[in-house]
Amino acid sequence: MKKEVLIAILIGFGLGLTITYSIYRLRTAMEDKPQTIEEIVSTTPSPSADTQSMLAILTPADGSIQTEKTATVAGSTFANAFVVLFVNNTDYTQTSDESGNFSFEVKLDDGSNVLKAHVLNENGEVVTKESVVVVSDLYSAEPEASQSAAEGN
Amino acid sequence: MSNIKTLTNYFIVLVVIAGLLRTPAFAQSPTPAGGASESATTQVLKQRIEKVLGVVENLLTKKGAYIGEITRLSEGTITIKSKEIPIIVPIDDSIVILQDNKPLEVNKIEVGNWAIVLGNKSAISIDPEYILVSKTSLQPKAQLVKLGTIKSLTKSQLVIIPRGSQEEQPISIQKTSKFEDVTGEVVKLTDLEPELNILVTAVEGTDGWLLLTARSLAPLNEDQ
Repeated sequence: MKKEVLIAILIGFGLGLTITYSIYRLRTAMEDKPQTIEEIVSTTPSPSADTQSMLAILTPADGSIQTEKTATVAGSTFANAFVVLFVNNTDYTQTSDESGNFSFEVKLDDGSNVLKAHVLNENGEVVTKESVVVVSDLYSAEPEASQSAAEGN
Repeated sequence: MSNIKTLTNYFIVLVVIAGLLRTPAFAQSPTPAGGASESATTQVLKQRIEKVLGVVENLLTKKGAYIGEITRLSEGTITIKSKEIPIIVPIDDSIVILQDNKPLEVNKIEVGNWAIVLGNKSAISIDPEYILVSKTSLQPKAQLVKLGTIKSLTKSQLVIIPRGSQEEQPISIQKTSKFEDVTGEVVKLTDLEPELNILVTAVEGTDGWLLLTARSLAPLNEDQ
């Protein structure tokens, strides 16, 4: 009886080892398979991929709503880099400071304002970041706006 | 044979230890006697989680806007593409829809229109209160920002060799184009000359790039 148990245990161990080794080989084979072109393209960093995180528009917040038609657009990037900010189709240029901070006083249009910051490194590569701001007095004049809209409907 | 016996004993000991280690898990499993109290505990936990989620939702939700092209209309929703991300905007009678500051019926909205959606915004969705519809695109023109060297310069056209490239980049000069020295002071077109390193900004026009600003990256010759 003891001998049979022992044989069963050994067979169990053997099976377990075989299954574990098979799984290990299967995983290794899957990891070593050649990448498709799409995979290579998707995993190859673009020239600006390393630097994409090196540009941030801190204010105004993306998607914010304000009534004023001016704004201070501030952000951070590389130190002493050229920063070009487009507000819709109007451009502003300056150089970031020693800490990489930049700040523009800009005029905004009524309604949609697409802020797009471009930063250039020494090789001429450009990193961009986009943010939107809406100039609207709908919330500041909410009762009248809602009432007039309701009357219109 | 004695080795085999020892091995078997070790294995049995291992099995027993494994069983002992699992014991706390059995102790945590529900028992018929404790079922009612555990159900109450679960209920309390659910309520607390809902409260926490509500607080988090309030923190994450604030007045904000999405801007995008309307890509799909369906019963009760419109979909806009904002920075390549589709945002589904639920529509109901409480939402004020305006076009050129005038009320617009929801059935007048068309795919290809642009919309500014204002409301309570979270990171991935919006509970709209106003929708401002525009027939024209709200996307700015394509933009060009390049560092390069002036190859040639006339009254109507600037040609640069962008840094890191050998391909010429022609840019049309407009009446509104600005020329700046290294400090950003406005200078004349004639102050710039070939071989000068410049930073150019331009937007796309019907016949190519239109120069907005050309800024010198080096001090200009004072003779000019």
